[in-house]
Amino acid sequence: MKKNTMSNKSSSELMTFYADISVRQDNVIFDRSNTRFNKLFREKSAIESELKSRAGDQRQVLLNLYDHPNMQVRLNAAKATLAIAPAAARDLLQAIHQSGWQPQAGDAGMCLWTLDEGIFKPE
Amino acid sequence: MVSRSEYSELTLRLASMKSQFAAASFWLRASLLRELITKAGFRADQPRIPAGHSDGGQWTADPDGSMSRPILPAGDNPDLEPNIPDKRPETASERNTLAQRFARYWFNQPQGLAVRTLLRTAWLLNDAGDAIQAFFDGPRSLEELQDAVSDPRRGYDIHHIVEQGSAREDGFSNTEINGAGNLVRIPRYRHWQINGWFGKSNASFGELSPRQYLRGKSWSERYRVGLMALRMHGVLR
Repeated sequence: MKKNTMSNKSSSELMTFYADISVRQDNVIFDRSNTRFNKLFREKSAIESELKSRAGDQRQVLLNLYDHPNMQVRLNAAKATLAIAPAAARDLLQAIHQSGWQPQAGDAGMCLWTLDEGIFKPE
Repeated sequence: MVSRSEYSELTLRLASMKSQFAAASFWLRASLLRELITKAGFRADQPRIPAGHSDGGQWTADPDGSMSRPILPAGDNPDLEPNIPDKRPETASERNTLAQRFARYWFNQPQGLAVRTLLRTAWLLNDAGDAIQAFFDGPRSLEELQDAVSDPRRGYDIHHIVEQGSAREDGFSNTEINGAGNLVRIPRYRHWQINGWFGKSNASFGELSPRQYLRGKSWSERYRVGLMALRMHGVLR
């Protein structure tokens, strides 16, 4: 989605796109090549940036995805909201890690570790 | 020059070897299935729903209401239950993806469900039974994983804790890369998942992939991340 197109969308609509992109990431997560996953990652990051740039930091709409049925959606939402809801986001990452649902469980665990190590500093 | 009779004998011997191989292969598959059934806690005397009901033949609870094995929390997304085709997919890529999805799903389900699906889809058991079984391994100590390198097994791969490709490109020696301290034997699908994780863009590493993030870093930093990845992906205790 182009930036111009994104700026015409409501935050709620962007949240829906965000969930859709995350589900598509889950669909290609077992590909031997990461090309499609990483392309979707860039689209996901662009939505996060757009939401962050809006008045009041509209990344808060992603909190609505915390109980989405798809684990990749929840994982992405948790990481994207670490800066605005750190305690809740960490709780969700912990829950994903403990679920054993791989590879998201591993990624959630690594995310918590990078936070503790100071490698990841959410902004 | 091989005579006609020698050729006939060789043909017969080859047919015999093929037959023995098929028998051994069948025996191995049957053993694997039996092990999975045992792990699932199936009992021959477990009650079933009587014929004539819509669920006739399905396993049901014992009269006191208990099941032979506690029912674990169901997958938190019913839509995630993979639809496994009866017919073997044509490409290895499709088969590998399906097998990994099922291994992941079954890991969070009562294993009886896995056994039932395997009974229905022989191709999956035949193609991926060993790797699926290995996926159910619990976490092991680093020493156990390293010692297992000398005992290669089906369904497992030798994994480099510090990734070999980028380490080589960054000038680390073969002695370091293929040294005993850097090698572990781990379940194949966990190996693929960890390798996949290293190559995926990740917010936790400044939107780089962990592989990109580690470029130019020291051996000890790479090793530290590699060990943590093993731990977080359920391989290392």
